[in-house]
This record gives sequence, structure tokens and C-alpha cells, in this order.
Amino acid sequence: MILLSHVSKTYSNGTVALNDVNIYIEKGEFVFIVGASGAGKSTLIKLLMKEEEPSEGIIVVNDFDVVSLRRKDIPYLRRSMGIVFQDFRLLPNKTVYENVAFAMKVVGAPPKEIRRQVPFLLSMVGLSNKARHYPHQLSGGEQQRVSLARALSNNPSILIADEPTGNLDPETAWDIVKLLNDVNKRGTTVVMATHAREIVDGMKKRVIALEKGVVVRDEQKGVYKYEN
Amino acid sequence: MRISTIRYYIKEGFTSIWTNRMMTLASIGIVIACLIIFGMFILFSSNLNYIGDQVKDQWEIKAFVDENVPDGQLDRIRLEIKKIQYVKECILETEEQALENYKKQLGEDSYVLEGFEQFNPLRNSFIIHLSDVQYAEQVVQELKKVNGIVKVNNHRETIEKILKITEFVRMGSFWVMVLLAFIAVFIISNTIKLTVFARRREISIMKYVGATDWFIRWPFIIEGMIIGLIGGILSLAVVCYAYDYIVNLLHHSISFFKIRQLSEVFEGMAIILISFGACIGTLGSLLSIRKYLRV
Repeated sequence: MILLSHVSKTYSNGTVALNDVNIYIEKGEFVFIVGASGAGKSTLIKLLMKEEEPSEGIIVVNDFDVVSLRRKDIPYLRRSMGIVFQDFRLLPNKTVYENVAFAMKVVGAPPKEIRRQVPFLLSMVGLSNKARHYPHQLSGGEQQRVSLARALSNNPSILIADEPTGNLDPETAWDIVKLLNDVNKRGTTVVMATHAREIVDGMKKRVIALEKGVVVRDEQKGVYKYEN
Repeated sequence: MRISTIRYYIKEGFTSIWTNRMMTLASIGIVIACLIIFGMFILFSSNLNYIGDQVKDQWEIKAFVDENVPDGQLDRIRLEIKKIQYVKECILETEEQALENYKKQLGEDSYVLEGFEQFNPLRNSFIIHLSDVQYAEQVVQELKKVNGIVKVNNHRETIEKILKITEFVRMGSFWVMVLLAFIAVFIISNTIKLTVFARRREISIMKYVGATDWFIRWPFIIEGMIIGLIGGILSLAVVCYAYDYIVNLLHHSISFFKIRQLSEVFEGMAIILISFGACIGTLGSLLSIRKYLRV
């Protein structure tokens, strides 16, 4: 569950990134956040992860009151969500298996559970046969699937994808979105920031459109943009 | 904390050291240099203290008794001296004993004193040891007031000089040590900074997946600690080897003072240097973490 109530964010240089944003995303939803570069998508995600503080407003993620959350509790907020980036952010000197296992290790998962969970995740994203490969030996789509497996490793209830298909060709992009849809069907809330119009239009999911930091549209079964 | 987690910290610490080996070597070198100088100062000041103590122990005030005072009064004088504050011991040296000692000191030349037994020119005296050398002057003044005492010998200035030097070296070594520790901490923190920089990608991923601050910090602390420990052990070896060499060298030339043997100081040195090294290392990484690891 994600709730933003009257959230504004002005950076110290004066840039207004978000202006009085109100969003409520229920558990189990699949939501696209669309908008041009600089519309505030990245800021929104940073606020959810408490990488940035809002200038005003209330943010609730799962059971965490994000704004008043103490520094030392931030890791527990982040464990309740998984995140996928446009540039994958895999560790180049670790294998596919190690990259996923690493995310579990750093939250203190017992080795036994890691050995059980990692192969399961890799088979889910269809990379069981590439477990011993290094990221540079994989295609972009495969790398993004590793990053997805990593994001899911600690069973988050929310998956946040920040332009996950931005670096991929259209066909590979669809594979990733289908995977995200599978994840969503298992009950995980998925929030995907994107400007891939075909994907948004093809999926017929809830669309929240941002423009200059303001929510200009929020509709079920929406499309990227109406023609004028 | 899980054992697998602790193993992870230690493994990561060593991995960093290896990845960053040139800088690690440089910082170990600096730690060694600092600790060697530190160790030398400790040994030097410990020996000065030791010698100072010996001087204090050997040092005595001599109070001479008037020739006209009959021997029967010696006991009374002794008791009066004993009553003076800070007097620890008061031993009578009769004129005969004084002559004997004098002869002993002259050794082969003692024949010049032959015949003096009948007309002993020396006086009865009391050899006085103090419980605290600091109050020598006060005691001397009191001694002069005792009926029958004509002269008091006091080497106060010599003692004070030695005590002053000891104190000076002690303070000096303390400040040198503080300065060196600062340098070492600074250099280690720089090394750790490089590791943090080299691993920034890993650290940012760790933050995103929800690693706690301390989970991210521990490997760096262990890295600094290992650098400090290695520096401590190596400097201990160098200091001990050099000290043993110097002691053997001095053994033949200095006979009036005793110098501490290596075996006497080894344990203390080991504890001080190794734990000091580990502290410097840990401090260095903590500093670096605070400055460069914004988690």
C-alpha cells in the first residue's frame, strides 16, 4: 500500500519537482507512472524510498510512516520493497547467482534460505542456465531479469521499477513487462515509472500521469496520452 | 549476529585489503613508522623512570655529628631524626665504619689512610633515606635543627635535574605520540576512503536492498583494524629486535645504572603496540566512514 497526501518537493536549488501530489495505490495494484523527463517520476520514487525528504505532505508505504521514519529504520522500509533500475545496477565482479544472493546476504538472510530462494528466483525469470555467468556475458534483457530477481529476493510486497525498459529494445521490453505482470499476479504491488507508450497502451492498467510535478491524470485502464 | 554475517564482514575486510593492496601497504608502512617511534619513546621513558627510581633509592642525605658529642647521645639523635616527617630510614655510620668505607673506595690507594685509626679525622654520621625525595629540602632544614648535628650533605640539585629530564621526556614522548597517532589515523582514513570509493556501486546497491548502516560499515572497520594490527605486530618485531641490540651494546659501557631487559618489557610492549595499532586503524576507518560513507 502506498499513500501520498499533499506531497510537495522543492529542491534546495529552487526546482519544484512535485507539487501537491495525492496518490493512493492499493495492495496488489499495477500502476504506471508516466510523464516526460523532469516531470517528477524519479523524485517520486526517491521519496518512497526515503532517499529524499518531501518539503511537505504525508507519505505512507506499507506500514511505514516514511516522513517521520528514523534513519536507523530506513533499511526496514527498503526491505519491504524491491527496486529495479533502468541501468540494472548489477555488480560486475559477481555472477548472476551471487548478485541475487548478495541482496539476501546483506539483509542477514540465513545461508540455507539463500540456497533455496536464489535458484527459485532465477528459474522464475528464466535464467537458471546462466547462474554462473557474469553480467557482461548477458544481454541487456537478461541483465534486467537478474536485477528483477534481485529485487524480488527478499519477498517485497511492493516492486518499484524505474524505467526498467529504458535501455531495452521493444521486444525485450515486453518480456520484462510480462514478468512484472506475473509478479503482480502473485500479489505484489507493482509501480512502474516509464515513458514507453506502447507498453502503457498495451497493458490497460492504471495510469498516473505527471506533468511538471503535478498529477494531471489518474485513471484505471488508462493509456499513455490522449491525442489532442 | 549470525556467524555467516561475521564471516562475511571479515572476508570483505580482507578482500578490500587485497584489492587495495598498494595503498594498504603504504598505510601499514606509516603505522609501522609511527609505532616504532612510539615504542622507542616508551622504552626510553620507561628506562629513564627506572633509572630515576634507582637514583632515588640510592640517594641519601648524610647528617654529620659534632665530634664533641659523646657516643652515648647517638641514640637520642637517631630517634630525633626518625621523628622528622618523610624520613624512611636512618642508619648510623660510625667514624670507624666511615674510614673503612673510605678505604674501600680508594682501593689500591688505601695505604694513604693507614695510621688514621688512632686519630680518626672522620665524624660519626647518619645516612638518611627519604620516603619521598620531593621533600628533601624540608627534611634538610629539620635536620639542621637537631641538637648535635653540625653538617648536612644534600645532592638535591642533581636529583632535581634527573627528575626534570624524566618529566620532560615523559611529556615530550606523550605529545610526539599524539602527533604520530594523528598522522597514522589520517593516513588510514585515506586508505579506507579509497576502498569506499572503489566500492561505491556495491554500497549503493546495499543501501537500496535494505542493508543496515552497520552492516555496510563493519567490513571497513575490520579493514582498518587489520591494517593497524599488522602494523602493530611488525613494529613490535622491529622495536624488540632493535632494543635487544641496543641493550647488549650498552651493557658493556654503562655499569652504574641498570637498564631494563627485553624480557622485562616485551609483554607490555606487545600489548601496547598491538592494541594501539588496532585502535589507530579502527579510529581511521571510523573517521573515513563518517566522512565518506553517507549511508
